[in-house]
Parts: sequence; structure tokens; C-alpha cells
Amino acid sequence: MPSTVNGVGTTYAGKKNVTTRRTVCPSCGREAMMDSYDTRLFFCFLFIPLIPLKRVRVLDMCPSCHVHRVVHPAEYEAGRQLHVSGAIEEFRKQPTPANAVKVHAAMLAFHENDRALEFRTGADDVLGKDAQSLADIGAQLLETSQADAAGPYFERAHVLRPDLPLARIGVALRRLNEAKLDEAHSLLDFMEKPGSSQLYDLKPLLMLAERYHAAGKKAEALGIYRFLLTELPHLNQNRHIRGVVQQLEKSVGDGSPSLLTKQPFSIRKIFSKDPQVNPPTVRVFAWCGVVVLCGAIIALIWNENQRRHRVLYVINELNGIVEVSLDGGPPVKLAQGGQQTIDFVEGEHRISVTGVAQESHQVSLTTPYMSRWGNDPVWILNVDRAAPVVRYAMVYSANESGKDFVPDVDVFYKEAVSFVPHVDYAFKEPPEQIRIDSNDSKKRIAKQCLTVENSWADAANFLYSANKPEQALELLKWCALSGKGGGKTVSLYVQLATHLKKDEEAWSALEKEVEKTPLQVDLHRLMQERDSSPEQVKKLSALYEGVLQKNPKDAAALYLSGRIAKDPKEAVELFTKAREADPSSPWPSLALAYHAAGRAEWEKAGTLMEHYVKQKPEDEGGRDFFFECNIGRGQVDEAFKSMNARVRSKNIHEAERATLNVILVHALKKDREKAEAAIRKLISHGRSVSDPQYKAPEIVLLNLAYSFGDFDKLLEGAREAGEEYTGFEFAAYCEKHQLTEAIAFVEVEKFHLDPLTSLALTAVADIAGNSGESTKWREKAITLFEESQDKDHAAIAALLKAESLPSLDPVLELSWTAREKALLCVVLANRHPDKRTELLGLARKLNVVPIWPYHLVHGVTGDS
Amino acid sequence: MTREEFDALVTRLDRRLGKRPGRLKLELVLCACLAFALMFAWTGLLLLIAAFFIVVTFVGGVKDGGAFFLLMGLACLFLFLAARSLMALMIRLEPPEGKRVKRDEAPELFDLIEEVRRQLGCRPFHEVVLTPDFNASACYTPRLGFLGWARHSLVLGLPFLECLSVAQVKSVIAHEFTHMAGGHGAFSNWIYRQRRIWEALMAKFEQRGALREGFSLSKPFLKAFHWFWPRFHARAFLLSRANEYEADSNAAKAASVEQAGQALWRIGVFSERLEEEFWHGLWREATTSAVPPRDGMQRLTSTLIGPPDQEAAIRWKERGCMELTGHLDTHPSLPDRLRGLGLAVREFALAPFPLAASPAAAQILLGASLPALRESLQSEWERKMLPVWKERHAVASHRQHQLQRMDTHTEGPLSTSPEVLWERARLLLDVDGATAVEPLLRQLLSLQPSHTRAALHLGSILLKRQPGEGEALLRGLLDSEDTVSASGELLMQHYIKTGQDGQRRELQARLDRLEKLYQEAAREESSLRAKDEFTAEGLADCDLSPVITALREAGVVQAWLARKVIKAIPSRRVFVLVVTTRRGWTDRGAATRDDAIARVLTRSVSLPGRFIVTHPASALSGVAKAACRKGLPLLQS
Repeated sequence: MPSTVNGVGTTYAGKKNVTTRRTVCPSCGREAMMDSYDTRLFFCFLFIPLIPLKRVRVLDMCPSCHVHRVVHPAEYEAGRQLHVSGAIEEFRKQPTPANAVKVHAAMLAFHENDRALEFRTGADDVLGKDAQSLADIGAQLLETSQADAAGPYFERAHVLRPDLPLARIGVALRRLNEAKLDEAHSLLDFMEKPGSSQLYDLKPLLMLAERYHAAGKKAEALGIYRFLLTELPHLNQNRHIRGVVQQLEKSVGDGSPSLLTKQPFSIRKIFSKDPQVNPPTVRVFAWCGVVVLCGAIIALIWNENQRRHRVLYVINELNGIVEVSLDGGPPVKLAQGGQQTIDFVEGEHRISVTGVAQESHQVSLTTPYMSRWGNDPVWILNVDRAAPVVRYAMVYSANESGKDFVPDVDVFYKEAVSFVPHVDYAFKEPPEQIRIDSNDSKKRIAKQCLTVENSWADAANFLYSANKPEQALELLKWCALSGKGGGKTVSLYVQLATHLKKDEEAWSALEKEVEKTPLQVDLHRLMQERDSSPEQVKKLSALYEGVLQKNPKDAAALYLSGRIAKDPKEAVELFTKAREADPSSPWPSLALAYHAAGRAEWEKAGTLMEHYVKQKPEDEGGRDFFFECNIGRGQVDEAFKSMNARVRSKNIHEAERATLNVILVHALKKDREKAEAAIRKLISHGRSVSDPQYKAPEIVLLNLAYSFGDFDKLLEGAREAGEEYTGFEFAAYCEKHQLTEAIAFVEVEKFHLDPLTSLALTAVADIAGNSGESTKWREKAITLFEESQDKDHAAIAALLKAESLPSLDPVLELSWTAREKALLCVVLANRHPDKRTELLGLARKLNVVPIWPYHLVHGVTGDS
Repeated sequence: MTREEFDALVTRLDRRLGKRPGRLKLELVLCACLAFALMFAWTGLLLLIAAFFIVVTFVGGVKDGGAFFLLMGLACLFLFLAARSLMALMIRLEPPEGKRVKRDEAPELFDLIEEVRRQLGCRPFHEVVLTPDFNASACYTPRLGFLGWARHSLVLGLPFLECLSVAQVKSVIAHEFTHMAGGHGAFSNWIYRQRRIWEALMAKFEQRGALREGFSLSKPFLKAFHWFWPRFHARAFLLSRANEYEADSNAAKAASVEQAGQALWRIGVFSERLEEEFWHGLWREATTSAVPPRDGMQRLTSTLIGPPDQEAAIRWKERGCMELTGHLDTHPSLPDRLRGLGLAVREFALAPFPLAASPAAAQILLGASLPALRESLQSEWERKMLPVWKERHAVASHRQHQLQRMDTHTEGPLSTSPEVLWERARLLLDVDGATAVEPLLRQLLSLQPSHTRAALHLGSILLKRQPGEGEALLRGLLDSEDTVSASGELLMQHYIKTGQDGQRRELQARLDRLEKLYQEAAREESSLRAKDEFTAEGLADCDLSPVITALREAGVVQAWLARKVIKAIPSRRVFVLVVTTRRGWTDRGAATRDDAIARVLTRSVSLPGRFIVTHPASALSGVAKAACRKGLPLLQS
């Protein structure tokens, strides 16, 4: 059979010698008028016949299913002529009625209707006396849809032999067409005998019943239908007949029980192709039902499959290895920052964690039945709740319609085992783009993502930016109280609480936490910095002493005691003890490093900071100080290398800080080109990871100008940058030794005056030789230092007030940053000429990083 | 494969494997496995594909819902197709119908069965079923289709028990035990199942092959089947025969050789007697009665108790002694089986015709339960008979009605016309049976001796009573293509029944040859190809002047006549008349003209045989050219 796919394939074109006959299709079983014709098979493209392939004769093309037979026209022609001529030859030899019937049949079989007419007319003298042959001729004509021609033959046969069943049937059919139903009925009486179905096809009787029904002769119709149902029980399945009989029984029935038997339920019947058994729609619905059933079964299997293949994500952000096992199964090992999955079947489970953390959770890891079809849930085991796990929603949109989307964010910190009902991208980067199959350009597709944030502070920031300040505050409170995220989260907590006007509540919460042991260093540091009053110091000292009495080697207590110790030497001693008590603790190292840096002992400070940075890599301030230490101890390249990796950080803020440090290194090397190249790199990196319109931040540009001593540009830049950067404007005036402008800037422009600013003005006045201004600003500095109530500031004030400086020890013992101490040394050098050389020498050693007031100090101290 | 070739194959296999039943069984099992493998290959392939999708889905850990549904949907589709193809291979074997007898109903019967079982060392039957048939068998009903787990039933006909002695029944039971224990039933059911499946597949493939032109998978399949099936069947046939001999031998061991022989002999001749005396008469009753008689079974037994007509008794005994083993029968013939037991068939032939045993085994083995069982089985017999009976009654009634009408409407000369006589004979055959029809058929044949169908009917009627005349009549029909198969088959059965092996062989060879010849001739006669052999021989002797006149009148310029050589039957004639009106190569419209002329000539020309009229530019141009080359030029320009 020719067929095409998208218009490409084979097809028939043209029709010649068309003949038609009514017959039953061997494929679909339908009775229809079927065409036979000569045609040509073509190869076609886009349904256009292009290349002729062969000539064929199509035989009995079914109009319903198009199934047909194909013969070669030559073979068909030869077969036709041979068959017909063979029959004629047989008839010529023996001109019997039976042979005449054969010839006629052969002609009709090959659709030679006109020749058959000619033949039967010519052979009438042979056929005319034999009723059976006349009836056979009639039957042949009837089969080939020539009812009109068949009628006379049946009539003649019936006249000759009124008993002949075939003749009676033929005449009866004629009477039916003439609407002489009763005559037809009497002719078909022989069929209405019990058992007649064994001998005859009762179709004429069925036709008679239908005609009676159509003519309104219901009683006669019902009688025939009843006989047919008795004789042919399979007619019970014919829905049309059932309907008619039911109707007739209702209208003319005599009350006797119906002959229609109740049809037993049969699946085969539902799927039957026979239109008499079923309306085609039933079959269509039945198959739809099968498909739906299959779909439902697959859906159930899918549901069960989902239930049996769940994933638990295990995240370890602890500093060490943990082993996690589910229901005592094989343990999964995770190093710090490790992330693994464990497959499980939904239900009650026991999760055991060993290693640096010891946990055991009896949890119900289940989902509602219906949710399994739509959701892709995830369970997370956050060991010791150390990782800031964040769920956020994001949208993909065809244009910028998604810009106004405020992400929905959750942070999982309340429980060790968390359940997320649906996640599209669990702990993996969502794709940059996805395909949206929609014409709606405004369509947005939301996706749920899970990620582990770099820090708790970032997680809180995420919540805050998603318009969830309360949740952010709650998270920060939890972090502050449970010691997560270090001092940063504690200070952020206080900041946010203040912002939300809940500072009192925050502080009271923190104060409650202060007395708890083990001591939280970050919290205590904040508390010490918040209130350094003698009462507070006394209270905290008592607390630490209490702790130390219980455990003299409590590193936190030793460290915190050192921070509030009155005597710097005692403080150093306590820090050292704390470090010895807990070598892994970063805080004593930091304190000792600061102490060493304050004495310009950069080598020692660098070593201590190395340890600190390892322990607290997230502390950006610590990293910057380590960078300073490295420069101080002359390891510029080392410092440069440590920054280089961070320049490419995806956290643009970190990249900016690293770039700034790189610029400082290049400034020290006086290599401006490389410094500018670093800025260009930062811009390009920022555009790739953050914002396509990314520009280098003002702080970086202003520091570039300052570090290379380009103070005009610094002044210009600071003025353009706005109020936030007024400090650089002040620095520019100072570095240009423009005392009047600097003072005016402080007094007129109301630049914030702090002790360091006063010291800077003192130094500038000294350089300018304006002793009056120098004294004025020095005294101002003393006043400010004294007002601050800090013990170190008090010491500085004392130094500034002192008329003589017997040694540099008081300066060295001051707990102040190296840069600030360098400025102090410069100021003191002018006041104590006898110690000028030593003080300037110390200032030179302390002044290592080219940021404010590097050039001011350097201008006084010189290179050697 | 022709009958002769099949016979030769069976003989060859018998020679090679007759003494090696183990080897025969092995070969048969291998053949059957191959057949099963072929049958299940398609289902297996579909199942494999479905399994592949399931494995990919579950082992591959498909997480995406769409992919999961797609893969599982495909798996479902292939499982559905596999189930459909498997259903096509499923043949349900119904358990035997009848009355299940319990031990407390017939303790003696069960004791006898148990005794035989112990003697032969077999496992017991699962049930004993009594039926109203004159037969006994071991039935195998698998519970799990082709996977087996069968239920074995011993089926005993009550009429059978009422005509044989206890010892004879014992031998029969031993025979059936052997079939059950040897797995004969299972194996024959296996073969039966295969045959049904293959036949269904064949029908499907043949239907497809008929609808498709050119290459189709069904053609090589059918070719393979036609090669494979006779070989498989020949082996199965041999094994079945061997099984019967083995069962007979065990029957002789359990009862005695004499009793086993007597049982076989009685079953054989009683069946003949019942066929002629009981069944024939019973079916005639269906003409008048709408329901089967209430004493049918009793009459069956009574038939065998009374002494038979001497002439008929000799006929039945002769048949029993002389029957040959047909190559399509799974059971060997009675004489062969008696010889297999070491008994002389002649002695049985010389002995008086046996009557039903007294006391009959039924009285002893069923005891007090016999009347109730008889009643129950009579009802069962009626129930089984009723549909066939009704059918026969309806047909007979209608025929009778038709005959009455015919008598009314065909008075006078019409009543003796061959057509009316033939129709009357056909109707009477259904109403009154063969005896009443015989004079009518003779009258018809005297009027029209060439009436082959009448001769065939008369021949088949006479074969039983006057074999010589019937045989002659049927042999005369072997020359007619229409009746060769039917008359040949009737004669073949007659020769087998009467033990005329030589005649059978001769007839078999003749039938094979004739059938092949007629088939080949029909094929040659119904097609024309350019490569066929054409000749002009003998054409000059024919009177072709009317043809030439017709050609001239039609305006034909050139004409050739050739005869196709029918190699199978050279006397048959097929002509090719090639005509053309072409006058040189510039005559462009000749093809259309020739086409029209050829159509006209097809009707007007008459030749002594089949013929076609064509022209050189027609679709049959190859044939036309070949005919022009080899044929006789009738007209030349």
C-alpha cells in the first residue's frame, strides 16, 4: 500500500478502466462499494507525484480502510481473457445451463458487465428452461449490485419453479424494494421454519423485519424479529436489533417475556470492532480507559518509586571529619566543607553522626502521598547546624520582567535535619538560561534552589534583602547566642536590632548569654567594647576569675581577662597563657600579634597572624592585618600571592578588598601600570560575576590615588565621590600640608573630629612650623583621648601631656594599631626632640602600608 | 509434500528410528522445542524490549517524571503487545465432560484401577470420569496452559463397560495407565496444541500473504512451515504408534494377552456394528423427532447384545481383520495391534461375531450405583446430542418441506429432468439416507452419465454394500479434475478399511501425480509470460478461416497465432492471438486502435481453447512479441 511521511513517499495517480462492485472488505469486514482500476504508482514529494514507479491494477479498494489488492495489469489482463475464454470454451463444448452460469460468473468476476449482459441474452435459449440457473444468474447480478437486472431472472425462475428457495428469495427482495411486504413475507415463509438458519442466510428475513418496522407494521416486524432471535441467538448482541425489539415489545408486545436475553458483561465485547455490537465511541472510550489505567498504574509506580528513592543531603561545615550513618548502615565520611547524599526509603529513620560532632536523630522522613507527584523534596542533615543552608526562589524570564521579583528566602538553622518540600536545584548552580516554551514574553518561571552560603552573616543579609528583617534578626540572634559566625554575626545582630529599634531587647539577650559558660569570646569582646566602664570591667573580671578558678586553663577566660587587664604586661602574660592553654584558639594569637605589631615586631606578628588566619579564615579584618604583617616583615611577594587568588573571588566584595591590597603592593613597588591593570581586571571580573555595568568602587580609586601620592587627584576624587569619602579630602589637605584648608575643613565643613584627626592636624601644623596650631590640636587630641574613657586612650593622652619621655616603652606598650602609633610617634618626636631619632625610627618601622596617614608619616620620617 | 513422499518419509523414519524409541523421542522433542522457540520468539522479543525499558527506568535511576512516564509507557505498550501475542498462542484444553465417580459409588471399579496401578507401578489418576461414549481414554488437562501441571483423568464410557468383561476392562485400564504414566497424553496434547497454534498462525500468514504483493515475511515463514511440519508430524505419528504398542503390551501384562486381544477385537468390531446398526438408525429418527430418544444409551447397549445379521457380521469382521494403518492415524490398525500382541488375526476372523459380555463389567464394577449412573449419563448423552440433533432435525424438516413443494411444482416431464432429479436426490439424502437415494442417482446417471456429482454420491453409497461397483464408479471419476480429490479420498479410505494395500499404494501414487498435474496445468493455463514456451505446431491443421475473416473485418493489418505449450497436460490448449493495424513506424495512433480492436476481437473470435487477444504495444507486449516470433502468421501486410 502506498504511504507517505510528511508528504514524502509513494502514491497512486490516475484512474483508468474503473469498475465497481459491492463486497465485504477482507480487512475491516465492512460491506461497501469497492473500486478496481488501472493506475500508476509514483514516488511523491510534498504529495506531488514526481517519479513514476510502476503500473498496477488496484483491485477492490475499500473506501473505509483503503486496503486493497494489487496485480500487474498485464497479469490481470491475461488472467481475465484466459479465464473468460476458458469458461466460454467449456460452454461451447457442453452448452449446459451450469456452464452458462460459469461463463456469466467469470465475466462478472472480471467486471465485464456489458459482455455478461450480451452473453446471458444470447444464451437465453439454454438458460431459459432451467430455473436453478436463472436463479443463479439473478444471484450473481444481485451480488454485483445489479438488482434491476437480477429481478427478471428471479421472476422467471420463480415461474418455472415456485418452490426454488433462491428464486423465492430473489423475488422477495424485489417485492421488498417495491414495498410489497406481505408478498415478500409469503415468499420467504420457508425461512420461518425452526432450524432454517442451518440452511439459509436469513438476511432477507431481517430486511423484511426492518421494512415492516419502517412501514409501521409493528406486530409483523416483532414476529419476525422474535423468530430471528430464536434462530440466531447472536443477534442478541446486535445493539440496533436489541433497540428495535425493545421498542416493538413495548408498543405491541403481548406481555410475554422478552426474547432479548440479558447480555453478560464481556470485556471482549467492549473492545469489539463490530459496529453492531458496540457504537465506535464505546471502543474509543474503552481504549482511552486502558490508556488512562496504564497511566494511573505508572503514576502509582512513580509514586512508590519516589518513596523508595529519597535523598538525604549531608553537609559538614565543621572543622573536622564526621561519619554519618542511616539506621546503622554503612557510614558516610565527610571532611570539612563536604557534602554527600544518602539514599533512603521514606519512613522512620535513625541518623547517627560521629566524629567531631556526636549526634543522633530519630526522625520521620516522610512526605504526604499526593505531594510525591508534584514535588521533589529534599532532606538535609546539617551536622551541628554549622552550615548556613539557604533556600531561595529565583525566576527565569524572557525579558527583564523578572527584575522586580523579590526572592523568597528561608534559612535552615532551627533543626539539624531539615525538610524542604520542593527543590529544583539542590546545592548546584542553577543554569544561566532555560528554555521557556511560551509566546508570552512576560512569562516567568520560578525555581527553587538550595545553597550553602559563605557565612551566617551572608545568610542573614539574604533574608534581610528578601524583606524578612524579623527572620534575619531571629537568625542573627540564634547565631549570636550559639556562637555561629563569630563576632561578625554578634555585631550584625546588634546593628540590625538597633536598626529595628530592638537594641535593648538584643542587649538584654546578649547580657543573659554573657554569664553562660563556656564563654563566647565574640560576645564578650563585643560586650567589653560596648562598655569599658570600670564597673563593667570589674564585673567581667569577676566573671572570668570565677571561670578560671574552676578551670585555670580556660583559654577564653584567660584571653578575655588579658583584654581587660590594666597592665599591658599582665595582658601579654595572660594572652600567652591562653595560647598555651588552647593552641588552636585564634584569639590569643591575634592579641599577641597586635601587641607585636605595635612594637614593630612584624616577624613575630606575621607568624601569629598566620595561625589566626588559618583558624578564622572568614575574618576579613584578620586577613588584612596578616597582609600588613607580611608587608611589615618584608614578604611583599608572599602578600601579593595571597591576594592574587582572592582577586578572582565570586564574592565581589572580597575581590575588591583583595584588589585594594594588590594596589598597595604595587604602590610600594611604585608600579602604577600594574596597579591600574589590577583595577581593570577587577572591573572585568565584576562585570562577569556581578553586574554587567560594574564600575570600580570609589574606595579603590581613592586609595590608588593616595597610595601613589597623587593627592590632587585624591582631592578631586574625594570631592566628586561625596560625603561618604570626606576623610580622603581631609587626608589630601593634610598630605599637601595645607593646614588652613585642613583646619577649615574640620571647623567649617564639620568634618568629624576624632583623636586621630587632631593628631594629624598637630603633625601637619608641626611640619608647617605653626606651633600655635600644633599646641591647639594636640590639646584637642588629649581632651578627646581623655573623654573616650579607654585605658589605652588615657595612656596616649598622658604621653601627649608628658613634658619628657624617658623611654619608648610607654609608646611600645600602647595597644593601638601600627599606623596610628606611627602618627603618634611623629607627633611625639616634635615634642620630645631628645627622643626624636628613636621615635621617628619606630614610626618608620610601624608605617608599612601606604594608606592614610602613610605619606604624612613618611614625609617626616623619611626612608632611613 | 505429497502423500507418497510423506509415506516414504514415514517408512524411512520407521526404518531408522523404529527400534530406537529414545532417539525418536529426542528428535521429536528437539523439533517441538524448535517449533516452540519459533512461536515464542516474537513474544520473547517484545518481552525483552519491555524489560529493557523497565531496567533502564529503575536501574538507571530515572528521576525525571516525564522520562519515567515515557519509558514506563513504552514498557506498558510492549508488555501489552507481548500479552496479545501470547494470548494468540494460548489454546485452552477443556477437561473431559462426564460424571466424576467417587470411590464410594464404585468401590470395585476403584479396586480394579488400584490393582492395575500396583501391577504397573504407576501413579494414580486424579479422577475417574464416566461418559456416555463407547470409548476409553486417559485425559490430560494442563492447569497452567503450556506450562503443564496437569490433571490426569481416566475416562471410561459406560456403554464400553456394559459390553466388555472385567478382565477386558482391566486390560483397557492398563492401556490407559501406560499412556498416563508414559506422559503420552501430555506429549500428544503438546503436539495437538502446537498443531492448533501453527494452523492459526498459518491462516494469519496466508491471509497476509494473499493481501500483499511482492516480498512479505509470511512467504518464507510459510515455506519454512511447509518444510518443517511434515517432518515433525511424521515423527509424532511414529511415536504415537509406538506408544500404542507399548500400552497394548502393558495391557497384556496386566490382564493377559488373550483378554487384551479380545478387548481390542471387541472394541474394533463393536464400533463397526454400532456405526451401521445403531448410529445410522438413530440419525434417521432425527427426521421425525425434535429431541434425542430418552433410551439412546440403552439402545446402544442392546444393539450389541443381540445377534447380528450374518452377512453384516462377516463384513464387520472382514473390516476388523483387514484394516490398514493409515499414515494420518495416530492409532495403528486393529490387525496391526493384534499382531503386535502376538495373536493370529485369522483366529479372530474365524470365530463367531462377539456379543456383549455377560456378566458385563459394568454390573460387577459399578454394582448398585449402575442404575443411577445410567440415568445420569443418559441425561448427559441427551445434553451432548441435543444441539447436533436439533440441527439435523431442522435440516431434515426443511428438506422434507422442500421435497413436498417440489413434488407439487415439478409434475410432468420436469420431474424427470436431470436437474430436478439431482436436487431431489440431494434433499432425500438428508431426509431418508443413502438407501432411498440410490435409485434416484441411478436414474439420473442413466439420463446423464456425465453427472460427476451424482456418480460420486452413488459411488460412496455403493462402496459399503457393493464395493466392486462403487469402486469402478469412483475410479471412473479420477480422470475428472473436479472430482479427483473427493473420489480419490473415498477410495483411499475404502482400501485402508478393506486392507487392500497394493491398491492403496497404486491409488496414492496416482492421486499424487494427478493432483500435481492438475495443479500445474491450472497454473500454466491461468497465466501468460514472455518466457513461456510458444509454438505454431498443429495450428495449420485447425480451421482458422473464421478467425481470419473476423480479423479482416476488424481491419487488422497483421496477425499471428501461437499456442502456449502446457507442459503438465499438453492436450490442453491456450492460444495467443496477436493483432496490429500498424502501417509502418510513423503510424502513431496504432496502439489505441489495436487496443480497441483487441477488445472487439476478444468477443468475436472463437478458438478451440483458452485464448487471449493482444497487440504488440499492450501491457502484454512481451507475450505478444514471443508469440509473433514463434507463432503462425495469419495475416501479413
